[in-house]
Amino acid sequence: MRKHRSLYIALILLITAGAVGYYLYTAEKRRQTELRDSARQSLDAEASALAKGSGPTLAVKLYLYNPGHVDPKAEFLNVAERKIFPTDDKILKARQIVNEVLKSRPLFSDQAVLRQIYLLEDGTAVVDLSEQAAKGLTGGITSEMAAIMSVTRSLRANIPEIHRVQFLIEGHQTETFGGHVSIQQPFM
Amino acid sequence: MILFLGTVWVLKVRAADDLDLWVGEKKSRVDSRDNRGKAYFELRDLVEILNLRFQESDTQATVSGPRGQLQLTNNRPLVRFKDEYILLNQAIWRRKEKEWYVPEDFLQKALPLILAQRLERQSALSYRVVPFEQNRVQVEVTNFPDHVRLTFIQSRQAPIRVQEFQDSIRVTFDNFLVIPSLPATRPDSRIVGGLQFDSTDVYGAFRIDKGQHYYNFREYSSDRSDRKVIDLYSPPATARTVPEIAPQPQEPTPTPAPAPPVVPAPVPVFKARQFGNLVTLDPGHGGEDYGVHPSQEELEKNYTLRIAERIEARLRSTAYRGMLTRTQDTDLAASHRSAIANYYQSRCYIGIHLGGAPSKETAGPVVYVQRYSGQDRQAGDEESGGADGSTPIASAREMRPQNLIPWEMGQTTFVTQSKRLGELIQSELNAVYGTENQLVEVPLAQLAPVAAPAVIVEAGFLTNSDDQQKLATGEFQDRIAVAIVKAIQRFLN
Repeated sequence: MRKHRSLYIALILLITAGAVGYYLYTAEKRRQTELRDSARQSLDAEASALAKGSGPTLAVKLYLYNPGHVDPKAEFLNVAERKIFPTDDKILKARQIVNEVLKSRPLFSDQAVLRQIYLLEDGTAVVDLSEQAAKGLTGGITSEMAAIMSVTRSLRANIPEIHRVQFLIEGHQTETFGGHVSIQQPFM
Repeated sequence: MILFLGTVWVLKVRAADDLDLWVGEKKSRVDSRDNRGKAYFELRDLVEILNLRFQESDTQATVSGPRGQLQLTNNRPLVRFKDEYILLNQAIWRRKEKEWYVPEDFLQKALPLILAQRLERQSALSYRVVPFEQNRVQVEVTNFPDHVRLTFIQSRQAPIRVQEFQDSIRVTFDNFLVIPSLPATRPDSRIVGGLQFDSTDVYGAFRIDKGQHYYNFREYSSDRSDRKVIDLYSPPATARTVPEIAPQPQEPTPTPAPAPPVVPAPVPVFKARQFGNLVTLDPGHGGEDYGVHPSQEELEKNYTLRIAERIEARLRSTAYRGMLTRTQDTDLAASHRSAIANYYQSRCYIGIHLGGAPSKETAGPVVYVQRYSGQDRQAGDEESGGADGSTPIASAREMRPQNLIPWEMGQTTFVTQSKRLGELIQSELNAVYGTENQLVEVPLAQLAPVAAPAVIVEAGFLTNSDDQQKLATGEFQDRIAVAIVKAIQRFLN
């Protein structure tokens, strides 16, 4: 009987270990799948995650294209106020600002997407935009300058740590933004 | 308990999802590891499987392959390849010495740049190394009295690049492995010293050695992108006078072999100083690049060519000659356009464009000049919204030894003259339109390398209905041409 009891205990332990192991295995698989899915989602997902905490209450000053003007030195951009989700994370804040700028119509098309923002220690913000953000413009130097300047000035006005903005298109350093304006150097 | 922990460990390891890499029929496994909830793959495994070289120094690592090398930095999502940075969706991770991890993005964006084979994604976490397909390239030689024509005909439509070096010219192909077919006819040895195939290049390349009497070369592409024609010239026998507008083609004496289709006639060679009165006219866009196109009929590329042709015609009655960078509906790279202006040492460069703006009310002509990083950095500049960069212009000048100017800094010494030319054109065009638009300074890829006074003219907005209606008429295009020619004359005189 004593011998049988040991066998029962060993069997129960084995079944328990198997069940716990299976549970951990499926949980880990589920976690990995979720991670991969979240990485594929657009960067807006992080902003929407913030929404669960509180509403968009932080006012930011955006510089948006002022229709009808061609000279970047004269009334080219309008100041507009928007509300974003408050956060201490500079990158999350920068993402929300650029996403707000990309909503300005008719300058940007619906397909204009921010892929990623990265902040370098020297105060450079690397802004990686989708190809459509540049190709979806009307064309011409005015549209390109308006797009570049509204992103650059909006970031600098709201995040003091950002001193200059370097643009990438689809993750690559390209010669021009949309065929005319050089983006080899950062803007400030 | 040991059994329990063992089971968990085994399952945990399995759950890490390694990456499969197929080379031929052999499957290799690239170890993966989680870092802060993100999947990473071991670089050492990739280096071993793909037969690459790896070097490490503190926070940086270098991976070298047959086509170049990648520089990785710990905790940075940027990978350097030649002069470019590739942005990954996760930072590189150095776990410990010689143990580096990369995200899957690295395999898709960075690694293919240095491999001599294609890296094909089969499914999630499974990749296959595939050899490149073949491209049969046949070379034809035609000897003319003053030049040698080499025609490269390929079985695939791969991009072809021609580069000139001190003693040779190199023709390289992309995407497919080149299988060469060298010509039976020998090229004139005075102009072409030799023609060899270089199999050490990634895809294979041809090397054309310059002969003792080699002077210069021109390259042409036919409408069919399967061939490239290179004409190599001997020096001109005697100095010629300034050409009449478009240089007249020389009559090639008996042609030993049929010429390839749609090849422009050879252009006589002139000494650079004889082009002292040339104005480069650059009609914007072309080919697949339509420019601004509010409708299928209204394409900027067609307008720019028509206006440039009218300017060229108007210049004939002056002391200057206009030279168009394109006369057909073909696209040219920005650097190619600037290179034409520099090669001919033009007196000035005028890029012809039309504007496009999101707002239909934006109208009138706008003239643009180059603005370099750090140029005119003043207190009021930022508030006025000027695009500015970080490198002061003075430093670029200082680093220049005598006449050697970095390509993208060609415009530095001409900024003031360009402004003067731009203001004259702006003023003349304002008179035509009845507007008061101002000259605008922006960093423009096309103007930066031009070593001459250079401007881009947007001669009205195609997105504005009034401007568009005016621009559609030949009479108005002619008025624009007259205004620009008048400004050029005032500037050059």
